[in-house]
Amino acid sequence: MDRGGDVRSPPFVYARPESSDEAATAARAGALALAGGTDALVLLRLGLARAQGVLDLKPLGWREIEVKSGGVLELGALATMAEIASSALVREGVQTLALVCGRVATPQIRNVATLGGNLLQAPRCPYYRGGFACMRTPGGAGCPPQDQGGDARHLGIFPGACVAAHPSDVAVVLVALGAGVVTTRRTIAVEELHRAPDGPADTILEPGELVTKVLVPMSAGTSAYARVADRASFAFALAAAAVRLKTRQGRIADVRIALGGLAPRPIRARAAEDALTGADPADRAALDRAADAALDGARPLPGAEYKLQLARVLVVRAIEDAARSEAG
Amino acid sequence: MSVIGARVPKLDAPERAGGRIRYVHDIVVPGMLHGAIRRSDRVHARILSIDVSAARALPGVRAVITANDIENRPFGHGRDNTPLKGDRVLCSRDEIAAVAADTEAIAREACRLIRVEYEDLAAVFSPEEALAPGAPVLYSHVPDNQPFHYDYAHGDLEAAVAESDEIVSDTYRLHYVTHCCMGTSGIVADFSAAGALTVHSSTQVPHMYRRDLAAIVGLPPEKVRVVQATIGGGFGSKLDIYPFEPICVWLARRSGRPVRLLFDREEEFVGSPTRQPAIFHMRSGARRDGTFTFRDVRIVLDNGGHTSWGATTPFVMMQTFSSLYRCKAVKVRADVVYTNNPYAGSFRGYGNPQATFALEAQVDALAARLGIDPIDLRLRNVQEPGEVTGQGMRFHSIAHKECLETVRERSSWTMKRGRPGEAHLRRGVGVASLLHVGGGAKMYRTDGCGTTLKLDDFGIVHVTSGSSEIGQGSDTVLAQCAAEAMGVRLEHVRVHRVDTDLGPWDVGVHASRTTFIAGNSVLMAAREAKKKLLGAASAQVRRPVERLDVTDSEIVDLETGQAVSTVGKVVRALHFRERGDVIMTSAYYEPPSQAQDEGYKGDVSATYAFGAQVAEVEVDVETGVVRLVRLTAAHDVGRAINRLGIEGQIEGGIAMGAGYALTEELKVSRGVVENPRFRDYHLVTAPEIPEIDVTFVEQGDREGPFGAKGVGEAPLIPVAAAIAAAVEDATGVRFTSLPLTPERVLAGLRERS
Repeated sequence: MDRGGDVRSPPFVYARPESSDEAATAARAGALALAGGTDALVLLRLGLARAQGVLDLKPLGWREIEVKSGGVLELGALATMAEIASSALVREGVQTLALVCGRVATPQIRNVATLGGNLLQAPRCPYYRGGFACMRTPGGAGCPPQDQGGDARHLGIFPGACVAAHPSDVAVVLVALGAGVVTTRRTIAVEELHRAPDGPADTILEPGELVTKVLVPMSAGTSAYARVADRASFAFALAAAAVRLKTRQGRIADVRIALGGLAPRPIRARAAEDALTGADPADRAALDRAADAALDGARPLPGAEYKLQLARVLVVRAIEDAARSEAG
Repeated sequence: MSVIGARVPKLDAPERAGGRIRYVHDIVVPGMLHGAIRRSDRVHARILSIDVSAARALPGVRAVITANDIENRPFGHGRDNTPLKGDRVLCSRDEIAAVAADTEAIAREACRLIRVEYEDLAAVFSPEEALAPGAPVLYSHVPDNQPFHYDYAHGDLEAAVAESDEIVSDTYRLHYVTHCCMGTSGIVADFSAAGALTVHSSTQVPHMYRRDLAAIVGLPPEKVRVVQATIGGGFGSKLDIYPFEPICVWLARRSGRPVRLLFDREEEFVGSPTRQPAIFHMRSGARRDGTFTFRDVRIVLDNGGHTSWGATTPFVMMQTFSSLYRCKAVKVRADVVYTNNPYAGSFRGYGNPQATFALEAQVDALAARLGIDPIDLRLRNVQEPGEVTGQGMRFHSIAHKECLETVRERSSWTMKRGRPGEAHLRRGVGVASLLHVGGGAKMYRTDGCGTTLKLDDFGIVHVTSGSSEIGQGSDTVLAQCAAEAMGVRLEHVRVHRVDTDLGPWDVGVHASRTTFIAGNSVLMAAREAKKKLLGAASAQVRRPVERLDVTDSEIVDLETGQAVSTVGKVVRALHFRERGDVIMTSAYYEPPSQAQDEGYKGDVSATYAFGAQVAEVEVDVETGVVRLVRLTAAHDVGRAINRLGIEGQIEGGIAMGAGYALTEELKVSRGVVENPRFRDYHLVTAPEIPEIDVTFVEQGDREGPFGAKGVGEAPLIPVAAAIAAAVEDATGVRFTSLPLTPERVLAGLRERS
């Protein structure tokens, strides 16, 4: 059906780079990197991304999943959610990652959405996507729900210039697993990849810098992920917690906790980790203290208070699940 | 009987699944332009000026219209809507201007270029605000903001209150949800050179629509032809006429070209109707033995800024209050209140899901006070066949009791009720019943439906019904009725789409009436055709007509059991002879029902549908997440004609009801829809569909086609009530509003503890 093109669109360039250098050059020049396109194309249509063209990364490959020496699982940034979910290497090496990738969005989206794209997706804030101007929209400023009030149920609960909730489940799991991203320039811990935004950007990537792989250490203990959403599929987490832990003689020896759905970036809950180290994972009071520590500093807007309760429960459940898998 | 009660896949399923069906979105008329609407940026404001010059100047724009450019006649149930708003807007969906252009993108861009200056007026966003002293008045001729009232009563309320041993009282508030049809609203308007108008429309009521559309655009109805496009979901949303339809006609008139106007998804959320939000202030009583004594209900409806069918939902709400159970005295008062919110239309159940939610909560509250099991209490108050209710409804066939007993048995109610457990996942079961019209609804002076039937020369039966297929599967059911009545093979029946020039009269798809009313009409025409066919066959094969019958599209000699001719052969022989003839019949079925009197009493339907459902839920009391685990349903369907189709209706109704109860909410804040997209408006998805156990109680209705009752709306009606009851069983908290989101459930649990 011909419904006509967008009358405002200038000529648009579609590029297929031959090498990562070529890709980086094109990206620096302002082309929008296109992987699965499940978010990038939507952003273009909504006018939230402005670009003279797209740079299709698919010719570059970048989708291998391999186990490297030293117990590191290496995943190409263009590996799809479905490929990761069904990869025997991931299922055996880091089961929680496979499970979470297998529950992202819908089967259709999982078949095209990539790991890199998932980590770098733009906020799902209903204001940002709903036509409101804000600091993160082109040419906008401010934060409508904080400046004018409004429905905060889907927003984060930690104070900041932006109170969007970062949408990626996968990023939360990778932070807990201590994963890193390899870019065309450097290697960064996933927990350092995102930053609290004060403008359009919510990552530390520089113009033209492309994520090429993700490195996940496989050795360290067991992990678990817990989330609550409005429905079981095709809904972003209202709150989520990922935990990786190791116990020694019945005590928590090493633990990493990350929270999702509560801030514009995945949060590493270091205070909670400190509170837990040395604790008995069956000691419910210790887990509750850790959960409280994880949420220290949260100040939800009216309508988002319920997320405190959700997050507390999910932190406890994720720790319990991880401890249970370690015991089993 | 051979095809009646069989499992027949929808006849149009291959075409739909194969992408070959032509929806209004696929219709292309040579020379066609594309229309788009500029809607209000304000919820209540005076329009100071509208500047369309930039829109007119955009290349590719062929017509731009505002209220000044058309004869802007008022229309709708409250006569308070116009195609375009010239001096004032009253809600966020209000239409201010429209454009016809070479492409849809140009038309939408031109709409953006229209500059409107407003002067904001004081607005009201809830019935409470609109009823407060000194509230802004939306229409000067309605100084109290209350355009409609309904007062219903039967029995002596005071006496019934006095004899009550237990009385419960509460307030229930039901929210906005919307239809979410996969096929958005659309229309193509096309004038002939002589000025006759053909519209391709997604209306569910083509014949009444023809008259209404003609009146709004100032054409004589005889110059208007309505061709119903294939409809991608109706559910009541296409029962009324809305401004986009006359707007498209005006665009076609102004541009001198055919115009197609389609809603995109966001516009469908903003610019099509919602389910009627409702507030019920309610008291009910019972005697110690469980006999219901009285029910006193005040309903307050948010009418929004204009009136559509939502304002008439008290007609159906009061039926449930008066007659779902035997009750000596019932009083229902409904006040419909203008606000600057979106306006509601009809939506599957027509007010009944809301009323059932409130009523069943009170029945459960009485059960708890009386210490009687909720199903037992309902069984003590169900009616028997032959009863006439306080509202004058006659229950010739009623299997309410059997439905309750069936769901009690099949849901393991006795084993599961009152055993929530101690872990953070609590289980509960809850029950709700329903009453809905099942034999049409005489809301107009006629509730009839016509059929024309032609038998062609290859034995194909062409049925043209006045009624229409809107996805509910009626074409398949009507084909089964014709095939059964005539003795022809099902694949030899074709049911044709509605066109007001060619199809006979009908009052439209609503009130779960199509199987019952159109089915009976088709039966009449088919029986007549069979008689003519056998008469012709008798002369051709020289056997007495009593010895002949039609089986499997063949003419059979009943004495020998041998086929002596075929249907096609008989018709051909009828054509190829001196003084030949055709076999074409027509019929008109008017159900034996009455319009209500001024006190809303009367037997408005030829029969009534009943049902009971048990929901089983699991509530995570730490996160507030409610999971619908199982739904056990028993429905008094009279007789199942297409078993597969009716299962689909019931499963679809349960999914829709689960969404109403658990995930769906059109968020309206200060008059503005905040979540006009599927990302933020959450329909249930496959994982939320529970295990479903459906039993059809088939006792046969004396008036229904093969004994069938209408059940299109029925399965949705009790779902939310049953889920709320199950959540109460699991947690001890009865939620009086929906949806049961994690935060609502957590807040309710916290309040209790």
